[in-house]
Formats: sequence, structure tokens, C-alpha cells
Amino acid sequence: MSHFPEESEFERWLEEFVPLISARIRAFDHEKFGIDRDDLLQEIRFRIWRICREKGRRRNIRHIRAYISKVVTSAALKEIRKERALRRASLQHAAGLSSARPGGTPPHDAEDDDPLGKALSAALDALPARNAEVIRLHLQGFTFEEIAGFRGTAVYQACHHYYRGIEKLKAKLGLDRRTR
Amino acid sequence: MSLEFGRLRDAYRRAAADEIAASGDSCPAPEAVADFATGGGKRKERKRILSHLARCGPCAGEAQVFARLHQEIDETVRAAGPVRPFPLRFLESLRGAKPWWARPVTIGGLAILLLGLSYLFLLRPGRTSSVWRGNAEELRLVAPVGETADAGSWEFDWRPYPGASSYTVEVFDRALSPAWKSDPLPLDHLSPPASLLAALRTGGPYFWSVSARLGNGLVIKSGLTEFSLKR
Repeated sequence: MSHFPEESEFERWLEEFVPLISARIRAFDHEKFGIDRDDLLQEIRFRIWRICREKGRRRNIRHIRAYISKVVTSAALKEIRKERALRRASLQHAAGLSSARPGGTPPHDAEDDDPLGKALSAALDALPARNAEVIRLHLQGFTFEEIAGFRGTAVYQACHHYYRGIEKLKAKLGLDRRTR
Repeated sequence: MSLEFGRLRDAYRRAAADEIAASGDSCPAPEAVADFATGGGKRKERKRILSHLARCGPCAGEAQVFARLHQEIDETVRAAGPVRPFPLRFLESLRGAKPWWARPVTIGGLAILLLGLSYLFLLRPGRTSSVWRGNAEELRLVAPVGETADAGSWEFDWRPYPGASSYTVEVFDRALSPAWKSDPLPLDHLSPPASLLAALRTGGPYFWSVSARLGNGLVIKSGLTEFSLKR
């Protein structure tokens, strides 16, 4: 860090920033999405360290927030690519096992006979598109803020579409008001 | 029958995984998901990815990672980022900026000004029925003008106004409170009816004026003229 004293302020800020972003990333449960938190942090630290080492690169940074965001996103991308490759390999392995089984049929899945899942899918297909989309996204784990951001609407609209949709869904499924 | 959210969510995720497997819809590239989650991408592509995320659990998880990382970084940098002094930020904002007449603030301001002026001069409500007093001398009163009228033999007389379809006569008392008003008349004179004579007392002073309504709805008013009454 002491190689570039003219930009010591920038480097000092980065030194302060790395523990902050580390703390935030530690607080966020990435592992349920198959991402190793320590690997991600290591990648981010390495990339930020590289910014500090390369003088020419630092000069090109005009918007520090956007740049750091890009660094972290690309680090996460690398982790996600690894995770996808692992998932693909495990799927191929499972497919190999099922074809090796006598008769070549896949193992029986309990969800194939899941009447609730089928009824839910049918009921969602029958709902207005915007209600169904918001419900599907919320059931996939997105918050209303995220859904509103993705759809380009206000948060209250996302909530409204969800609650209106869930009422219609319950009516179609014959459920009572306790479903939340 | 009741159902917990958790069971509904699990049932949906299983059904959605089956749906996506049956449809053969391929997952978008991680770069596209990252771009989507951080607000990028074209509208059509965003719509396609959103529809995919609604059904594909792994891609939805990836989008959550990107969106939440982006939000966390944004909040962290905003809270802890170096603050550049205002003159520097101002000079940077000017660099590569559009000329003053092409900036949104200028265009918006001009648009608001134009709207305001057009409202004032063109769209002002009720403009067609407004009272025009500028040429009130055009509608001239002939008699009684500053004189004492005989209750048995007088009448209101005024010069006809070009284009007037009807006239209304109004009489006011000493305090300029309305004392009497005629119905619209097609004539340029009026013999005082019994109702007016009953409303007025001998002496005065009283005042009267005439309003002419033109064919286009415009109303022309004369000035007030004094008179008194004897019986």
C-alpha cells in the first residue's frame, strides 16, 4: 500500500471498506444458495488488492461505488459458475445411475403424486398474469422490495398484487384465510 | 382446510421444478442473471428472465445472491465511501454535460412555463362568458341620466349595441345594493313595470345600468347612472 503515497486516501478507504463488506457478506446466508462465503470473500479481497497494486487501473475508476459493485459481482459470478458446474455434474451422475438401473426408469419421486403441487400450478395458471408472477416470485424466496425492483413497480403494488392474488388462489384451492 | 406458507412454498417449488424440466426452458447465463438482478438488460430480455426466475429455483437463488450483494455493497459504500468536496463533484458533473438548453431541467421548466401561459391566455375557464368592461362607454345610457324621472311617464332608454341579442336592466339603491332586475329583453328601452315602481320610493338617489348579451355569449355592461324619482 505504501508504494503509491499520492493515493493513500483511496487505499486507506479501501482498507476500511474491506472489513465492512466482509461483515455484511458474513451476515448474508449465501451458503443456502451453494456459494462458499469464505471463497467469495477471498476473491473480493484479491480483486480489491489488485486495484491497489495497479496504478493505471485506479486512474480509470470514476465511480467507486459502481466499480466495487462490479468487482463483487464478478467475484460472485465466478463462484456461481463453479456451483453450476458442480450441479450439472451431479445431475449427469444421477442420470447415469438411473440409466444403469434395470429397466432404466428414474426413481419414483414423491412429488409426481403431489396433488397440492398440481392444484397449485393449475390455480396459478388460472390467475391474472401479474398476480401469478408476484406470487411465484415470492414463493421462490424474493422479497417484495426485490420483486418491485425487478418489475419496475412500487413496493406497495407488489404487495397488493400478492395479497389480491393469494386471496384468489385460496378461493381456487378451497383454503381458508390462515394461509400465509 | 388450512395450509402453512412453508408447505405451500415447498409444493410450489417442486411443481415449478417439474414444470421447468418439462418445458425444456434452458437457464440464462449467470452473467445475464447478474445483469438482470442489478437492474441491467433490455426490457424484453428482463421479462424473459423474470418469467424464468418465477419457475426455476436455482436461478432464483442466483438472482437473490446478486441482488442482495449489490444492495449490501451499495449501502456499505454509501455509508463509508470517501466524500468528495462539492466543487469537485460539481465540476465533474459539468464534464460532458449537455448544453444548458438541452438539459432536462431547462426543458421541464420551459414546458411548465408554456403550460402556465397557455392556461392563462387560451384555456382560462369561463373566458367566453366573462364581463368585458373595457368598452363600456359603447353601451350608452340615454335616459334617465342624472335627472328626476316622473313616475307616471318615464322609461329606461339606451343606445342599441351592435350584435346584442338581449339586454338586462338593473336598478340599485343608495347603498348600491341591487333593488330590481329585469328579465332579458330584446328591446333598447323599458317601461318601468309595476313591480319596479313598487320597489322604489319617491326621491332617491337610485342608480341603473344595462347589460347587453352578445350572440357569442360575451356580456357588455354599461356604467352606472344616477336618477331620482318623483310621483
